[in-house]
Amino acid sequence: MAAKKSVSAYRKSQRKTAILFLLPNLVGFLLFVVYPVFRAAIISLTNWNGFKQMDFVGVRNYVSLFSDSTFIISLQNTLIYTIVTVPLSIAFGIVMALLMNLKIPGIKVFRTIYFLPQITSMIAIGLVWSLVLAKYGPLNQILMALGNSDPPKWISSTKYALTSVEIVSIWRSMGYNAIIILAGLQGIDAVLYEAAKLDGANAWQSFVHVTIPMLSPTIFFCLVTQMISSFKVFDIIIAMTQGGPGRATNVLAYFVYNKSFVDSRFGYASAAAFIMFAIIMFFTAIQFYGQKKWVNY
Amino acid sequence: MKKVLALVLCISMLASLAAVSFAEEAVTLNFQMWSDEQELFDKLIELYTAKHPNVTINLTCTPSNDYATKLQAVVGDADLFGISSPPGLAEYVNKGAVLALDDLIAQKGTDVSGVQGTLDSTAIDGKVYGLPYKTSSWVVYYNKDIFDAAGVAYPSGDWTWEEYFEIAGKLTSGEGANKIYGSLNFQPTSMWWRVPGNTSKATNPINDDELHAWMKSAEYCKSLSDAGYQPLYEDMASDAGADYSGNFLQGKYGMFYTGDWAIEMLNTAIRNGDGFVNYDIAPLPHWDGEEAVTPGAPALLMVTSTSKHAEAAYDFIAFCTGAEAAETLLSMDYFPAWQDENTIATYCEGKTAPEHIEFIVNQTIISQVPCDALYNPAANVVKEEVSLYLLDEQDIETTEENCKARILDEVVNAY
Repeated sequence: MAAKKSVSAYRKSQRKTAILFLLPNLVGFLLFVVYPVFRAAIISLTNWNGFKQMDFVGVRNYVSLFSDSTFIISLQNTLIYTIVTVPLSIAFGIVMALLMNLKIPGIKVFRTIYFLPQITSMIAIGLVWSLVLAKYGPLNQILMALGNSDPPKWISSTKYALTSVEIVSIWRSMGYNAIIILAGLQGIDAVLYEAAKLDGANAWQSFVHVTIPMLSPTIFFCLVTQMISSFKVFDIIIAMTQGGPGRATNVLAYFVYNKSFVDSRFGYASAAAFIMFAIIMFFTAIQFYGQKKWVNY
Repeated sequence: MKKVLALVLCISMLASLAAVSFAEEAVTLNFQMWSDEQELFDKLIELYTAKHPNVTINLTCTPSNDYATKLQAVVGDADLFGISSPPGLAEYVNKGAVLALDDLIAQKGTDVSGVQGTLDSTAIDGKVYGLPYKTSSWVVYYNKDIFDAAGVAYPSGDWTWEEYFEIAGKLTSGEGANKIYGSLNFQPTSMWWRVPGNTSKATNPINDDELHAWMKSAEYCKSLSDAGYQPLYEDMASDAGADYSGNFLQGKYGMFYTGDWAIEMLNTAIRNGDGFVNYDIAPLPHWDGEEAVTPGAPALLMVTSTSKHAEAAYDFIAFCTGAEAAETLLSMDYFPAWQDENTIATYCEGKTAPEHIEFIVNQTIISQVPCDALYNPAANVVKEEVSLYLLDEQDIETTEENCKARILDEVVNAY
């Protein structure tokens, strides 16, 4: 009896220590995440202009968002952007990870090179890619040399601007995905491949039936994080197109930024931010539900 | 004994109170500004605090591109701040962030005779909210060497946009990398294309007829590109944020129109050996049958409604707008808001670059931007739609219709 008591006393004191260690982070989280979220929820129900006036307007902001053509366009652009960039950046990431897993001299150098875009400033990337994609830039020079007499105008046309942004985005994130997937690849037990070989599986069969299932938790991780960051895309837009030409690359996060910090409509912008949150929440929930069907732990 | 002690204490207390009320209270003012003005205000603050040693002014400067965003966050803690054009003033007045100055002007007997015109044009509901310290206006800059080579006479005064077009054609020559363009243009996402429209006194796109004049203006600018006298707008698309006085310095462009601020930029670049161009200025053209006017905008200083030292802040901005500060502005090549015969004479005196600097002062300035808080969001809509027109993605009729519909939806009915 006495022993039991002392164990629980020990547990208690340990719990206190644990809370003490967590406290700095917890306070930061409450102050800089939880509080602003609740505050924004309140603001989204007002017409706050960033200064004094703050009248309660109910759900009016949410209702008018859906008749705002710019919001609808930014919503469409965000969805298209996500649908294109997430699968492609992961698919390229897998291919790159397989290549990087080969035992070739100097492969570590390539691993570093492919990861570099991830740690490079988006402003610098935007500037360089704007030059690459310019009308007489290197990319169009190559296309013209290959016989395309009328190459795309990339970021200066509504038809290709979103594609241009998607290309840069995929280029940027595939290296990151590749490194994560590479770590997953190297965690697969060689015994499994040997067993498959003994059963007469060829390279493709062992890829489909051993590699992919064993990688599924890693791929799932990439899928969720990539999707969330795609829905929140902002830096690449402001660095390359500022939402243009016209509204061709206007995305949700850029819309929120414009409505709040340019037009001073913080209430309206907060409402848009909450809709964005709801959309991300919805798709993430679907993924977590769907993973039961294809992810092996 | 106790009574004596109490008396001594009382007297010393009163004495210290009196001492406080006699010596001027020490005041610290927080001042928000954009970076281009740092040098000017460092100097003005130095002059002002020499006479008012009890005042400390903390000047915080933010790069121009970020200033509008930054100001939103910090205006509540500032005592005074600057704005580069009237719509910004209207925006902050709408928010209730700016103190009306009429009472202080009357109470302090401030002489505002030299800036009365600007005060009238920037008043909101009949009240003065900001005091101007400088004004800017637009002129045409031209490269004399390119005119000489083409054998075209320099523009020397009254001229029309039609003539500008014709001259731009005569100045255009060459091919490829050696091509000389008659006129310089700007990236499609800028608002430069509206300036010919401004000279028809069309400044607020919320009004349909002024929007229509802007559309004519966009058509005019595009026709210069389509005729080959300017680069195509699609070639300028990736040039965001490029420095245009820099392009002009390369000597590949015959003419361009911009604000008088470019004089200081060009002269500084030439002085530092960053390029050379043999240039002069001419007034902005006008449309055939209209009178010659140039758009201009005052930069203003405001006291915040939340300032705890409103009187001290007002005293400083009254100093910046006055005749004495005007001399400092003149010495730094700025054209002060304070205008009398004396400032105009000093501005032109002894200036050789450009030779015809008097065009800056001898023109009728109309306010380029209305004191309307809805101007900026409306102008952003027009900017998006017109960029599509300049890039050949939609025709001018569609552009005008879209502008009207979107301004109604997203601006007029939304606020």
